[in-house]
Amino acid sequence: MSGGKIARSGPALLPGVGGLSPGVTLAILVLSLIAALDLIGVAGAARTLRAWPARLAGSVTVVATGGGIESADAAAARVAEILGRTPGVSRVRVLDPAPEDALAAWIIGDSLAGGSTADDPDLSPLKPRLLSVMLKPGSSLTARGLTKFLNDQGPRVAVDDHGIWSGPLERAALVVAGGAAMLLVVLLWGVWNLVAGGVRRSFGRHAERLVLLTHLGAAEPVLTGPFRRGLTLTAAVGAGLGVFAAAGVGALLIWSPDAAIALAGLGVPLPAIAPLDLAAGLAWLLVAVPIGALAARIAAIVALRRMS
Amino acid sequence: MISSEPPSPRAPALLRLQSVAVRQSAGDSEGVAISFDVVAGGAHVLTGETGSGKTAILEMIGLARTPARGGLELFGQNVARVPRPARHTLRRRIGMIFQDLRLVDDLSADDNVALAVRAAGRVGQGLATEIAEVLSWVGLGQRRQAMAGALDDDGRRRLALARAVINRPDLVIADEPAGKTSQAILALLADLNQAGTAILLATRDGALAANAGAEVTHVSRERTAVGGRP
Repeated sequence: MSGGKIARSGPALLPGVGGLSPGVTLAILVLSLIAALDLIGVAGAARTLRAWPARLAGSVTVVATGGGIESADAAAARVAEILGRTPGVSRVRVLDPAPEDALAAWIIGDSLAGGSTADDPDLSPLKPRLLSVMLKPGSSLTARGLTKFLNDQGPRVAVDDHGIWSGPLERAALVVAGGAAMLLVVLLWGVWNLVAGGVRRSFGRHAERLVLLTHLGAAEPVLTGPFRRGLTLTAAVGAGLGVFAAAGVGALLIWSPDAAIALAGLGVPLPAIAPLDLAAGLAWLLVAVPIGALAARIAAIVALRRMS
Repeated sequence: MISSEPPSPRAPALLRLQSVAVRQSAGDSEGVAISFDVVAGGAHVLTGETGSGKTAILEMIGLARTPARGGLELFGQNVARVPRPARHTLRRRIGMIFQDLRLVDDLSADDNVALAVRAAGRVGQGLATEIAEVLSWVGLGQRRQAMAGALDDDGRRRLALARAVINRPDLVIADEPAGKTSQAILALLADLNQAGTAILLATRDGALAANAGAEVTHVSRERTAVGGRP
């Protein structure tokens, strides 16, 4: 040994410390896979839920029932003509009866759709006709206003305000986001405990050497550093692999309809995800790795102080 | 004989224990309060039967234990006021020879000493030469590459001494350094003391304490007596 080589090539202070911890890596990988799938699903769901209120607010359905000598078909034609020249309306379309019936049957059941005596125009035995009405962006027209406007001009109609679904959808979006956030907190807690437990176990395995090095005057960062680096690396690799795996699952669902259908057949709820949603998993890396690093740092300091 | 000449009475105290008591283990009762000073370049011997608490006192001075009561000053600093992250700076001024030696058996003699150098954060030219010189001084110059586990008891004690002094400490603490076989260690400690390093030695060997030429503190579970030089 020549002079000056001690610091670089002398004996390792803590041999075997500072590398990957395979068991902890695997456990963090699993948590990260769940977390990243959660984030990807939430991204898709949030995008969908954001889009619906805008679409609902911009359209209404007019139910034309007719009355007296006027049939529902005639009433629908008259409504279409009136609305076609009404400012604020961009498009009016009388829906085909067959799809209407199918839709009604799907929603309320065959027996009711086939003929009901209910007063509700939707269930009227007169078989009302439906008109889909698109409003111009910024239009001041409301369902109530349109109902009055049309009834004043003759046709017996009711206008279904789609906007009433916006509130429940927005609340559903909040519930989805809140549930996902709670799941992420639980998963982060899991990462914290896995990393801290890994540090404690590693400290236990090297206790004798640590006590000796403490007596020999080693500074705290020198003693805790290898444990901190090793478990931070473990958290980063586990989280990275988990996010990568989740992106793979997401990609499979986007580009392999068969897989999506198979999962849907198993009762797995599948939000509509887009390629851009796959990037949402990266957010997990930005949170989980610093959390892992912090857990490793605190656990190492606490373990060393308990030891010495 | 550890100290042939008494240090100057005005020499600063490197170590000062003022009515310090220490527990030997958690839940144990406090030991008897003990007070003594070790001045720069001085020597002090702790004697007492096995289980009297000598090792616990030495470990407390090495900052591995906290006093149950009393005041401990190291190198002019009240240890209780030194934050934990800064305590290594005090430890680096102490060379410890443990009763169980605590050598790393699967490292060579060279690397055992180098471990202390690395732990102290020392870098620079000439460290390997310094290690070689220290190992030669303790009589292991020809066995530098031998594994610590392969050395006999005398060799292991010499190696523990080399590791304790490699960082030129101001105070060397030796817990039963001679064992039953190696009186040569005591001669090396005496040389070190004459060169200006303070020595605190713990032994249950009453004759050794009496012949050490140093101030002696007798430690027992019931009482503590401080004696002067013989």
